Amino acid sequence: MQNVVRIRREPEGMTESSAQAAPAGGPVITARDLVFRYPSANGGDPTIDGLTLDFARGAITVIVGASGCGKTTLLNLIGGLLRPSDGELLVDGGVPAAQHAKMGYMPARDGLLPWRNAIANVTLPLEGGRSDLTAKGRKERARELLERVGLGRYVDYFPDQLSHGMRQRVSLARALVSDPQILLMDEPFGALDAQTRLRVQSDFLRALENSGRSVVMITHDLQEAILLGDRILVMSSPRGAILADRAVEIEGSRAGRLHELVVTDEFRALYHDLVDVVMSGFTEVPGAAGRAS
Amino acid sequence: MSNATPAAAAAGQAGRPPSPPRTEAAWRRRARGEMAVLLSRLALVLLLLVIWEVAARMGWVNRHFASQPTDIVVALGELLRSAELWSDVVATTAATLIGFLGGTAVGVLAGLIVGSSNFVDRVTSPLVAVANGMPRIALAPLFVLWFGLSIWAKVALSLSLVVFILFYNTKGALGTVNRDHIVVSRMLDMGAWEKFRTILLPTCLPAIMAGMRIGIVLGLLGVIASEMIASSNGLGQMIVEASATFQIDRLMALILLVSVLAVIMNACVDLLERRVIWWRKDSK
Ligand SMILES: Nc1ncnc2c1ncn2[C@@H]1O[C@H](COP(=O)(O)OP(=O)(O)O)[C@@H](O)[C@H]1O
Ligand SMILES: [Mg+2]
Repeated sequence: MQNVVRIRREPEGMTESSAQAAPAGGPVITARDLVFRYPSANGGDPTIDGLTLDFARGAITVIVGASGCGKTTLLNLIGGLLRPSDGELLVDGGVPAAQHAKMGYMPARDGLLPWRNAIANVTLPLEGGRSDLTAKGRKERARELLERVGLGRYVDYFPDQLSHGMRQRVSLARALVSDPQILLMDEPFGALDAQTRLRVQSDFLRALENSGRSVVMITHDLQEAILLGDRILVMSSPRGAILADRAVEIEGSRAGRLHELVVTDEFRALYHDLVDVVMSGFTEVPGAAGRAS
Repeated sequence: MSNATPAAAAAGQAGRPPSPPRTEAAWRRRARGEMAVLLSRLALVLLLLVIWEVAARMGWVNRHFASQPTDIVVALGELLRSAELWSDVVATTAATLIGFLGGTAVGVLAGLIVGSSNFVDRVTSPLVAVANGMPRIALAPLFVLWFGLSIWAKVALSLSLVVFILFYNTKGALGTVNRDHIVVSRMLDMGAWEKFRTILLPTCLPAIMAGMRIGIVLGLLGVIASEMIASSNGLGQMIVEASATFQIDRLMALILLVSVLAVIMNACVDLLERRVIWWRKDSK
């Protein structure tokens, strides 16, 4: 169990040459001088102001940061749910809103439809002409995904009848069912208890391993960031600045070893490093929340 | 444990939830509880009837005004045996159903349209509020003027009562659509129809069903009221007749009949609700 976690610090002032071993094809998401302001909020101050960033293809990029710093806003921009106020944001070379077929999205609260059972929730992305599969094929595919996240016995259960962790896994299966190249996740495992969280995180890694998928995941949990991320970005308010950019290298498969990884010295070192960064960026901005009128 | 999925799940919507694990003892305990409630209910009703009967016989209450259970039973028997009654029951029921279904359809549709456009909502809301505030019963003579002594005068009054409940319930429910569901619909590039079918309508269904539950009783009330004010047939007409001729036994029997009709209609809505809102079977 030695040297499994290796930490690499990026030079200050990130350059375009990402330090990661970027697979062929260049970055999957590129932001150039990205600006976004909510029309009605913060007195017109931008939530994100001049962000320039690349997301490596095939990597899990985790964004951490205090609540309200703009993480969800950035994810929704990438998902094409919001439009940049200024600057450029490209997903796989195109405008985000035009790339929905390549994306899977996992909202913070599972977002499952209560009137559909687990399998019918998972088939949703395959319906409405979004896939060539027949109704039978869609169900088979959905069942396969549910089995992969350990819910093969619960395909007929409605969300109300499932535990929180199970619902998150159904949501994960739904996000993966169309085999998207890009997975966007907004605090997917928040609000889960510690054991369930490790379990779901393992399921997540297992479902993802060797898939070549690019993931952008938001979390407020530093442990989760280190365990799941190939790269960790620390975001801060105001203006959604990136305070730190860390690469995490873990040898071999992580799935199933998460509980071992958390007790390594390397893990602890990176954890403390991140805590330092997060706390250094934690300056209360009185204007940000106070200007409600 | 294998899950042979029922073929019924073809549309991707159906499929029934396996009942959550309950022990046999729990079932038995529950069944015994239900039985106790049922028996107590029956006992309470009997007690009230006996008190009423005794009070009438002892002269504590004037039996010419209040009647008494035994007399009402006799009157009810006479009523049920008369051929005339059934045509009136049919007339009242038909008018109620048409008014109820029409009011539901119009109310839901209007609620969906107005609820999906903030602009339309703001333009129409004062108008709708005024219309809803009108004392509908007072409009009954007007409807008779418009439609004559036909079924349509009753239907109009009934519909005017039902429509607003469904309108407000549907419109209100549209405002409660889960934001995550909207995000999902947008990420999947859902068209308007798919979004309506898979998200908006199911979101509104519980509120629509709750509206229908109130609507059916109010619809019946509207028809009876219309018949009492001006009509050539129907239970409302019979009620007026009975009270005008001081046949209190008959009047009471008719009122009882109307109540039974309301209960039956309510049960039908109940049945429908359980079919339509399948995903809530086990919660609550
Ligand atoms: N729909 C919105 N309209 C106006 N302001 C918003 C909206 N959504 C978020 N904000 C504001 O933008 C900032 C960033 O929000 P968000 O991206 O949700 O933060 P995070 O996900 O990091 O917690 C916050 O100050 C928040 O109040
Ligand atoms: Mg957020």
